[in-house]
Amino acid sequence: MDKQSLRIFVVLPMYGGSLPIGRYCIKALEEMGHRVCVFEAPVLYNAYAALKKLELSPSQMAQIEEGFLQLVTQALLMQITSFNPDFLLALAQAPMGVHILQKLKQAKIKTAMWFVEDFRLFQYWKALAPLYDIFAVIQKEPFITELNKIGQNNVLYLPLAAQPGIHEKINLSEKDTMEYGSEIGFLGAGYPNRRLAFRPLANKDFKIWGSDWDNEEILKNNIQRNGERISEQESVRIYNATKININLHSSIHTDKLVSGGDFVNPRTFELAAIGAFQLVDERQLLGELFEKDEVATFNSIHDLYSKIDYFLHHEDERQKYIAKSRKRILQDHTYQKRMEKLLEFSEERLGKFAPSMQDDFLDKFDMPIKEDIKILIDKLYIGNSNAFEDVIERLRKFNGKLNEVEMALLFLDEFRKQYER
Amino acid sequence: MEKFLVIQAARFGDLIQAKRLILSIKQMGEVSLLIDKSLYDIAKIIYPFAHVYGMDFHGSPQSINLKQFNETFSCLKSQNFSRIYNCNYSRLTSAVCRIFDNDKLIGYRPAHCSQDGILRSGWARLAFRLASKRRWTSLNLVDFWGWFVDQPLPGNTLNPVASAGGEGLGVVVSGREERRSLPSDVLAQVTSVIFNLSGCKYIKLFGSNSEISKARKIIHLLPTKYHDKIINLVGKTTLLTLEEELTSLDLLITPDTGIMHLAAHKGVPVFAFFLSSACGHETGPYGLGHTVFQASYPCGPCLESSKCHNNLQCLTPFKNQLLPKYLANIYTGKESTRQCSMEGLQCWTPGFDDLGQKLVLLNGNDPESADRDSVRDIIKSFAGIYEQNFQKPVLAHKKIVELIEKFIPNNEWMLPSKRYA
Repeated sequence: MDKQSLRIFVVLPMYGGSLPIGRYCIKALEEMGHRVCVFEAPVLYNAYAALKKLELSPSQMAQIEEGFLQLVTQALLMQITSFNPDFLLALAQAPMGVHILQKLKQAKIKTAMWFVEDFRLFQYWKALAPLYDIFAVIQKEPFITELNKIGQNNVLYLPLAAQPGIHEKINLSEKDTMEYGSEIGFLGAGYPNRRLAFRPLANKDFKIWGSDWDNEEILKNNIQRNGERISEQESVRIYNATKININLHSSIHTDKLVSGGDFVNPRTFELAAIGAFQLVDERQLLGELFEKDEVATFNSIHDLYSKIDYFLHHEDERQKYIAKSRKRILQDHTYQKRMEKLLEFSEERLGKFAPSMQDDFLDKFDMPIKEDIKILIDKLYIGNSNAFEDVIERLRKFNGKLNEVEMALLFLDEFRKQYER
Repeated sequence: MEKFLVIQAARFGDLIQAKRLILSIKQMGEVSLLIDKSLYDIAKIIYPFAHVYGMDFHGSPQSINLKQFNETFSCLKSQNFSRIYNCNYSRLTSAVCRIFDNDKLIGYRPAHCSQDGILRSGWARLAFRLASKRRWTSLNLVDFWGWFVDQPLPGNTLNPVASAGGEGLGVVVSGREERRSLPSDVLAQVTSVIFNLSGCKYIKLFGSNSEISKARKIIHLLPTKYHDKIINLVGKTTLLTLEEELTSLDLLITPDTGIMHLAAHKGVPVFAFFLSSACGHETGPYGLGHTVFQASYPCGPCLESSKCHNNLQCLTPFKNQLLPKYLANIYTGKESTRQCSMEGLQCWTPGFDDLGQKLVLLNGNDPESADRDSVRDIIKSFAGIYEQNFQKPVLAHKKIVELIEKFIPNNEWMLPSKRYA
């Protein structure tokens, strides 16, 4: 794909695990030089949470909920229309229903969904998938065939990734090491398989971080901060401070604690990018993402216990895995790589992007003002775009006083509008 | 040991249908039951391991003994239950639940607002949506309550496989709703056919005081040669004596009743007749070895509280002169030839999948089978069950959209599905 700046609209979900992934996508797209406009659904979720605090009965609240989602859809459609994107990316659970997708199809806006969920548990894709132009997934068969069957043939397998700059090695203070450090650590929700798997580790130097660990008697001394949610920044500290990070994929089933499922969770990539050592359960799709000597795995709970003992006593081995997995991440598994792949695939399937008119208005100016405008473009962070409209749009959003050049451009825009009228 | 409370304030049959939930909780800790006090003795028989608390859920306000209420509530509060499973969408149980922490309540929770009301879990909300399209539904009530826990006991381990006990044929004269029961002449004919083929020693008639005259009528309609073999227990049993009388029956002929569920609990084979508002997929006898005859018309299953505008057409197949031959074929196992199908009548037998009981069609037409299978996949996804059969034919996308919009509306995935609302 040619290095051209696209206008990309990203629709975030209101909540959940796909939300941070959406933010990494935005960062990656911006770093690639695209002009990104974001539908900040989480902000609206705060409004929903506030509505829930009103003294309304459940039936009244159900009506409010319906009205709220209509409002969200309306705002989303307006924002998309006014941005007029070259490409729209929605993350799983983004508030994009059948109605809005049909409208976008009519408007010929190219759309993609990155469905970063287990397709077996979130089945609404069956209604929506054929309405997207591109459907990216983190699982392979039988999901891809199922999507083909319902008419979605532009399916891209796009595994999760890490975001360098966020997921990276940090130097910890002594205080941080005391607070976050342990020989063994786990960060994640207290799914039934994890509860059972971790109980035999209760007497070890084992810290459990994350939510949904309520009513867990045996591990109560291991659970940190009463199971409160952990921020992204703190999670990086925890991973860095832990000698062995257990990465056991979640399952509600307890008959097989190591479920052997297909997709690879974000934690696998994040731990590797951070330069933290992890023991991850074997997954069907792990082998094509990492070589065997890049990430240490276990295939049963007893295998996990014995490998914990082994790696606790072999720091040199841990360091080898850390170095190799980090190298692999930076080479192949960043969100930027994923976004490149997504855009390439989209062009391949949908035809070349025809970015909105890019009048390189810099050419209209002579030095030294041209240099000032270049500086302004860098400051406004609009990627490769030299389009006058993009500069003006960013300027309007800018909080604070404008300098002479900035004011002049705004004036020019107003002047132009008046003249064109 | 952790303590758990199950609140089941509904009738006798519902107490038995909560068996999967109660036995699953037994695997996790100590079980207490809060039920209507009229069911106290039978609950001690069915669930001998449980602490049983009886309350006046179905009495009149005058009958309420406040002192006793206070004692029961004080006792319940002091138990410090880890979780409380509230099985009923009921303002009464909702009021009772106010003595517990809201986040420990599973199923239904009181809404803490001046308007009052009941909040439902995502699973319970799904059940309400399923109730709006009952012909596509295949969630047995036993499994609905069973899946209040993350991983219930397998459904097929719950009740014994039904087998004849040698102690005669049981006949339940009527259920609480007359419209859901076979008329006297039909029931007499059914009884006569089966008794003749079975070689049973006796015919035991079961029912409440209000069915004494119907029982007399049935006896009158039965061939006189059987009269000395009839043991008329209508109006003469308590729940405890009923439990004894059911033991070792060869077969029980019944509409959808609490006695039917008790028979299934004890492994007595059941011939169950479902018509009007009764749906065998929802409340059929639970366990292998039973037979369900379901009247199948587009207007059913209906609402028993609504007047029938179709001249009780669901009775038509039971009045068909071919019924004796049809029943004889089913009883003797010749049903697989399907030579004797009857319009408007389906014959089913219970089978099991990973969700729970799933009826298997033995005889008749089932035009809704593909829809029901698709909806069952949706139900499974809500229960967190992974396995699905992806080989079956795919519905047209328009139909899929209809199913998804009906059973997974936007608010169930755009907003957190685990919320109580």
